[in-house]
Amino acid sequence: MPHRLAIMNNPLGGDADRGPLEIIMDSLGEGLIMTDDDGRISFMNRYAEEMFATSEEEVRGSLFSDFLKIYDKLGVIVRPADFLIPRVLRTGRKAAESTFYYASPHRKKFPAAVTTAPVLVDKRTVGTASIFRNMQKEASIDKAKTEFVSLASHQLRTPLTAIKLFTEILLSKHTDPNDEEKEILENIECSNEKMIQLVNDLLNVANMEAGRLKPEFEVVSIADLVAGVLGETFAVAHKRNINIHYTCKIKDGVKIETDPKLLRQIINNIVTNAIEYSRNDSKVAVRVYKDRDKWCIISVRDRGIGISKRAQKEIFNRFFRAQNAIKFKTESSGLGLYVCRMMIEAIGGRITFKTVEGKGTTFFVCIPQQAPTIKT
Amino acid sequence: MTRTPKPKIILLIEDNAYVSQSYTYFLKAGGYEVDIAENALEARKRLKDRTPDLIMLDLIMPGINGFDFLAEIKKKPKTKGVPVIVISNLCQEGDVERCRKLGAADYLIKSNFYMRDVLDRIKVFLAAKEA
Repeated sequence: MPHRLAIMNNPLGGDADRGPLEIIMDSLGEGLIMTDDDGRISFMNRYAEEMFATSEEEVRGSLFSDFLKIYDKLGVIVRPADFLIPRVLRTGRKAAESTFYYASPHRKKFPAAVTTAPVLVDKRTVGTASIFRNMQKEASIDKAKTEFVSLASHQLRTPLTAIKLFTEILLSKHTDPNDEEKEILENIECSNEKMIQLVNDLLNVANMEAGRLKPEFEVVSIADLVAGVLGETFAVAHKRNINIHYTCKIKDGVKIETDPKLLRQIINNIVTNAIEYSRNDSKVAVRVYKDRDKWCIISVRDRGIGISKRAQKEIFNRFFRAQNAIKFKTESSGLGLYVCRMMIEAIGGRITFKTVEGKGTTFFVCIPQQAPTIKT
Repeated sequence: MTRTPKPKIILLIEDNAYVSQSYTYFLKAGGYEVDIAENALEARKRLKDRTPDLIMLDLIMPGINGFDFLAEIKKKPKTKGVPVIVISNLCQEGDVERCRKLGAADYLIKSNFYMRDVLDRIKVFLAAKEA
């Protein structure tokens, strides 16, 4: 009987039923699964068998998608075409993924980090090798962290609420503060609101990372929704003499299926960012249109400070702030774009941008006209 | 001769003294009579004395929590028709949904609302109750 690894014509394989190489692979502390160039499983080490509660015999010759279900962190099923193995077979390049969850017929969903590399013979890809690491323990620690943030946010909100209410009392017509007192009270109010926003952002992040963000899709008019959000931002823009120019190329009656609450937050966040990083007396242009693939695009262009080349890769990372952004505006949590990206992905969309440092940035929020259909 | 309408009664159940103090200030300034309770047990006593037109209920309180007390209010024939606005800094969707299912008229995250907006909501619920 040929060695199991010989199925892949691996020159390293021996003829014995369990050669030394196989024994080594079985002894690895991580799951190892190898496929041929069609993506069919040819080898599975012991640890992988335990991890997926299956046996190599049971799955040999199967595609991953035949026995595994993969979910993203929001619980949406990942399409087989987006699995790492077909991608690696297509590109011939190593790929890694650490946010997905895996489930097999005999094993409940668990988080795993996976690295898939091409198996090359004479520079030709003859298969793939994937290393799986069970991330259950890390996920539990992460969950504890999330619970902590959630609890801490609640505790932080209580005194912030008291400050908010007492300031409102002092600013109300019943107490009638003089101009100087009023200005001081407004500064207290403004600082307190920033703190509340930070707590809200932290909580949003904790919720999203815990997979608690479940979008609720409704049919809405995109033109009305964007106009409504812009109405809320006019006052802030007006204070700095920034003109918001809105063009909607989508007919009034056209509706899309999305989560309006999330989409409002996304647009508000992007437009507020554009205002904050614009110079006084400038312009922010907001356009809504459909692209060739019928996606709905909301573009927000500012003539602000732009994003440096170095920072461009990192702007959607948690707590990241670009150097020029810090210089321009000291206070900010660095959570806005991170939260935005997560919310956009939750409604099946994507976000991209074009920028020239010192001249401005355009963000493109692209959302499907219909809700993603494959959900758990 | 025009008769001054009798002020509406609001029962405020809130354990944080500062929040309770400021809510009371605005409610009184808004022309309401305010019954105050620091916890569910005190609220039970206030409800024995008189039935309010509206209840504002915190969720995290010592002793009986707001969820259980909401269920109790909605079970009793005397109080089940009284609109309850939940005021809490808990903001998980699950908490909001649970309160809605228990019969809350509204759910306000305290830190996110100015009192002027809270007063507007109160007006709406009282008007709906009258209609």
